Amino acid sequence: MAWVIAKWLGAAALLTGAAGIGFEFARKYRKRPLDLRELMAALRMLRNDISYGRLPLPDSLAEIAAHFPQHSGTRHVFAMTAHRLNAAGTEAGEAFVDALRQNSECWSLHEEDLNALRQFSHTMGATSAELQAAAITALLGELSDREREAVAERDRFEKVYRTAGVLIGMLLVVMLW
Amino acid sequence: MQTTSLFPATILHLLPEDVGKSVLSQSGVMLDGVSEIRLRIGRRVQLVGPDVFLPVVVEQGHLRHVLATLTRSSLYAVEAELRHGFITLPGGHRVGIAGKVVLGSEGGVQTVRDISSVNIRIAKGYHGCAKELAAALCKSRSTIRSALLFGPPSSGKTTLLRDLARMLGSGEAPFARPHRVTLVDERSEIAGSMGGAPQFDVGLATDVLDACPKSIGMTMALRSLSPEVVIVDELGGTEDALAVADLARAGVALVGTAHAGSVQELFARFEIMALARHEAIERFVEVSPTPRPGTVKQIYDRQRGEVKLWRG
Repeated sequence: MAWVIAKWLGAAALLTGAAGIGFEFARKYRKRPLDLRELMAALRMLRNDISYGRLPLPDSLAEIAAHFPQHSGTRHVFAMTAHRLNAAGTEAGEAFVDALRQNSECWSLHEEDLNALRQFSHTMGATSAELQAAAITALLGELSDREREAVAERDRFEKVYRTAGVLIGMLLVVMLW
Repeated sequence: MQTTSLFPATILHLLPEDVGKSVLSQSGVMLDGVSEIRLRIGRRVQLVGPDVFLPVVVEQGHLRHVLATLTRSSLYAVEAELRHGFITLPGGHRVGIAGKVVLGSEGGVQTVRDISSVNIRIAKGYHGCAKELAAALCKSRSTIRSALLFGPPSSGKTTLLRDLARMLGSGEAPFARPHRVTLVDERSEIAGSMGGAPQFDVGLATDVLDACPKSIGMTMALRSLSPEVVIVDELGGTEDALAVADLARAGVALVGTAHAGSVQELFARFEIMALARHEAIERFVEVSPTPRPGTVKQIYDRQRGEVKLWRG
């Protein structure tokens, strides 16, 4: 009798585990376009602050960060960069890259997405407003391509991973029964 | 630390750690006399005033530190200031910058990049330094004579002018009441404006036209600010002279400065001659850097074509 109960419990655990892993993969695909969109919205605000307001980066970044929800990766990266910049002698690019590294867990961006941001960081605060705005526009162009690609990937893989998780779980259960 | 009080926090904050330490390791008496801290790439840090070279050799990193702190890591935010070659700090201190000058399409300076030298000028307001001068220029208790302060560079003309603006604007004795003063501050040096707000005390009833070309500013003030006194630094060209003559016709007093080593040198200048002839300016004040900057050496008047020593 105990053997049967253990068998059922094991099967249930295996199934939920496999399904969970599948759901986690699916979640990453679902979240990347959202993260990219949020990031792009923030960058547009930054571009406005620079072009029209000539607002210094620490002020602008802190203000923009406050627009985004608590769990947002954009919020964490922007807020941390702003915070670092309030210390004497910190350069914007350096602080931004550092914030990206420390907050990589907060969002589902791919390494290439982060590379585009790192590339952009070299111009941060180091050029005229005109060039700065142009750099942001270029970055936005690149990110919007990535966002399109992320949406396509989500449509293709989100369901696949979700069902695959459940199916593999069931398969394992059947094989081990 | 006693030295910290001699050195404004904004300036210490600006300096890289090793430079800051090296500066503070000097004696308090010496630091008191420091008027500029100069960082030039590849050379040792200089303290102007006592004229001491510190053992720290300036590297690219030092300049980057100063610049990042100064601009709050946002070069674009100070683009306009960079075009003039300096950035004003809270407290009226200013940082002059030298490097590779990039020209814009219209031939003006677009920006300065590859910064190679930084000159941190420490502002020191001498509250009350114009007292003696004010007494000499006061016509009655409510009016002031138009005057031109002259002297060699860094003889303290601007410092005197600033204190005079404060006394006039605040109605400090010998003036009976606050005067409507317009300060035309082309180089943002008198009021040391930062984001439009004067960093020095320039008086209660003083309006500041910041970064405004002098001749335009004087005309603007006359039209819209109804000043009783206009204060302006470094009068030079013919347009300035015309604007001053306009002010005189409108019955507005003017206090200005001009670079000149002596009264002869001053009157050798065509536009100053013209002003004197029109009696737009009544007193010529010779300012001397010794024994200390801002010392009034002589006051002249000019009547019947003669320059005379004036005794009040």
